[in-house]
Amino acid sequence: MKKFIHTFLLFTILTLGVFVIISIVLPYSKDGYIREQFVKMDLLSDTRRGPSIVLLGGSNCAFGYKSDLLENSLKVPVINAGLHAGFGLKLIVDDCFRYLHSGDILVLSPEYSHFFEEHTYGEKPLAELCYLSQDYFRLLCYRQRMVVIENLPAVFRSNIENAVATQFNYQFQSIYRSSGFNRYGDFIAHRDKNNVSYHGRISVHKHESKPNIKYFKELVSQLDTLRHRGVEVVLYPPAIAHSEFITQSKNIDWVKMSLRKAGYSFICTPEETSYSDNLFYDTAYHLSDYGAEKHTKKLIALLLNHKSIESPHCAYKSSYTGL
Amino acid sequence: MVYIHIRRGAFALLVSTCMGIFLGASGCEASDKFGASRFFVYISLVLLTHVIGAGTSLMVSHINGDGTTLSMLFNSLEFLLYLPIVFSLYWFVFNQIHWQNVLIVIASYIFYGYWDWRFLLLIATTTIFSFTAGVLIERFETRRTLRKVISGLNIIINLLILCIFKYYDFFVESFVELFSNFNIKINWTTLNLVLPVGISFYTFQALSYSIDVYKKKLPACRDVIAFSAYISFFPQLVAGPIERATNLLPQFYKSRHFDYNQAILGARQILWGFFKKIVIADGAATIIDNIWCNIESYNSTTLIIGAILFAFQIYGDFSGYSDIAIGLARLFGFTLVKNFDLPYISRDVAEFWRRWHISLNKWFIDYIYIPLGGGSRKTLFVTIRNVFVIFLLSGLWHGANWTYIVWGLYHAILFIPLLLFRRNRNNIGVVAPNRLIPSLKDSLQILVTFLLVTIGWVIFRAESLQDGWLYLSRMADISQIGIPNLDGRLLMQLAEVSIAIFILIIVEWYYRAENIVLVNIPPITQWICWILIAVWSILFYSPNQTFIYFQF
Repeated sequence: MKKFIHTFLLFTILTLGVFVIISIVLPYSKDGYIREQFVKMDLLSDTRRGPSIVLLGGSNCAFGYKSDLLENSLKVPVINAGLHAGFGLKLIVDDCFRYLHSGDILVLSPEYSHFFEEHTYGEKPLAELCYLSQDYFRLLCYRQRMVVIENLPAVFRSNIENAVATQFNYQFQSIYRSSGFNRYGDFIAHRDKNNVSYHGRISVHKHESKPNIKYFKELVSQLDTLRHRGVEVVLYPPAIAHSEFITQSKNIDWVKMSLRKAGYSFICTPEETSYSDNLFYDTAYHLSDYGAEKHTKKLIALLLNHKSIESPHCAYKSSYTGL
Repeated sequence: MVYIHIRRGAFALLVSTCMGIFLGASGCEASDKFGASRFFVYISLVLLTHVIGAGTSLMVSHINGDGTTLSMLFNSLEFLLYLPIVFSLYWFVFNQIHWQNVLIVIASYIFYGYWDWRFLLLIATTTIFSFTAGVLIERFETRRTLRKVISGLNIIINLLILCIFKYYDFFVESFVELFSNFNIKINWTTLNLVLPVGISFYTFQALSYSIDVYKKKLPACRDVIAFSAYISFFPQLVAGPIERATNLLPQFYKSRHFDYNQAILGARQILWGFFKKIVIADGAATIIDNIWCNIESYNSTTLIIGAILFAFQIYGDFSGYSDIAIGLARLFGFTLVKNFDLPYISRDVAEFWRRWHISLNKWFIDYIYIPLGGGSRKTLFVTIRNVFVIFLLSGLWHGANWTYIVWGLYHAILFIPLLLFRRNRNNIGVVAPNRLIPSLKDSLQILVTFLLVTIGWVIFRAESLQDGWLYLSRMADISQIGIPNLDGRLLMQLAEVSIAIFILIIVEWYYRAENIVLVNIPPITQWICWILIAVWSILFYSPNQTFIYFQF
């Protein structure tokens, strides 16, 4: 048995050693999409920053707005803090909420899937983020840490693939780069490109999934805390392709009703932000140039007319004079 | 609460690993009961408490509906934590056979209960009925009718459980649809029951026991713990190999001692299984799922690639699982039957079925085909009927869907000409023995057999017969042949999987006469090869990938 344990340990150490070598020889791409998270959080954590509109969510948010249009229309600085749904809503919220202060307006557009099963605890992008900055690991709960550990091999593999692709000048991630963002945090690299068909790809979300009640309660509690800190919270439904909206309708209904019960209704109905499929670039959540403009204009109109919304539980009851 | 449990468990595991290194370095042997044993008793019990605590809390939260999903797959972190605990307890604490069997039962029930605790009631029912049936059959040795009745009742109960959970909804839906074609409305409701993981596997194992006792091939088991361990043995519980009581059950009666060589062989087989599962099956799955989701947008070449890839996906997935199961059993001192023997180097379909899912096919032959009259000494009609029955049941065993039934019938049609011309046993034994490459004749036969089997896999993979037909017809459309129209990332993945498949073919071909690959080479080369295989498997690891055969 002693011999077996020794052999096993030696084998494990040598195998792990190979990974250490891989991480040294093949680091994460300098222009990797995930790196933008640090830029966005730097913008948010800037102590000189005045009250701002903070757009938050997954990639629907990164692709979904023209922040310059929003800023010019409302005369309020805008930061688009959304990047990737794969971080999981828990990390997205935990990371961003640290930097919000009184006077900020948070426009939160979480992907619907975050409210179901374990999607809120993240996927591979969360592991990439922790791989780039170990500080993030401290922010995570047990479940998220498991996600990171489980997905670390995939991060190493991506690094190898990127290195090989670069070697052979083979670009398979042409647009997803940190250089694809503008100064507000909007992703713009795809705006001059034709849409890529995404129909028929497997939906990662089931048509009717099991809601994660525990996390839902946690989120509501965090939103309550934000309100007490003087942050205005606006829940704006994410932009979603109509075909996906139909397949997800039961899940979406659950999110809508549950938020309403918790006192955080969406500022408009989810139907209103489900757009024609041809307004999306390469997934059911990534708006094209024209789609982003349409989605932004809708938000501007809603924020300007917020007082006309009669819902007793509406989250947005701002008296913010800057609008 | 659950996080605290698991965090403590992880910490305790870390401590036990460090202590293990320390003890190993300080020369503690398994036989040193007051050194290693005392330590392992303490650490393992603490760990087990934490795992059970975590599992229970997870189950409770699962029932409460916080969206948590549970499973303890071989390729999950939970199992990575669980295996060393059970392994340590098994060899260091529970030294006597009886207690080792008790541990196997507890470990297997925790393993199975991780999916859904309600499944435990089913497996317990199967165990109790089959155990009691065995005892009664033996007790009434002289009363033939009574023995028959008891045996028959046990078979009916086991099959009833299987049918209700697996086939009831399928037959109800099929009948309602059939009658609706004649404008007859039937108001039968479906039960929408969750299909218990691996139910077909352990039900067949239980059936084989009671039939063998009835046929006096095996004495009835009087040790309920050993019998429970036989039915629920966790390495092969959810996806086989389907073990015969005559092979596995006696192993639970014999004392087991740790054997270094067996353990190393087991560990290697586990690694090779992971390579097949993670690198090949999971790597191919992404490409195949993309193709199947949008058949019409891919050209013929892509569809052909998709079909070939699926042949390797299902082989990697299922034979990978079998390798892991056999390797795990070796770690615990058990020998399981071989379940796959390089099926894709078969020279005809009959040979393919002697090499693919061997344990299931032997089960069907022994318990259905031969009792029905088999293929010899009977009329042509009986022979053909028996072949169709076997393949039909084999298809149905895989799932409640018309695609599986048609797949079974397709193989029956391929098999019957071989049987009629008495060529079904032409190709037996090692292919091209003592040759580096097969002869031209063998190569052509292998290629044709592989193509025929791959067409069958298209039907098997399809969600409906319409889907299968669409795939096959587009695949055969020569005007659509061109450069594969997969997107960049999938092409990259295809290249990676193709390299892995190439290595799999070379390695398994070279070691086709052995039970385990990469033997008889210098130790340093072996070390390098196995480390590379481990690294490759880890790199391709992706969470939440299940095994295809779990659904059966």
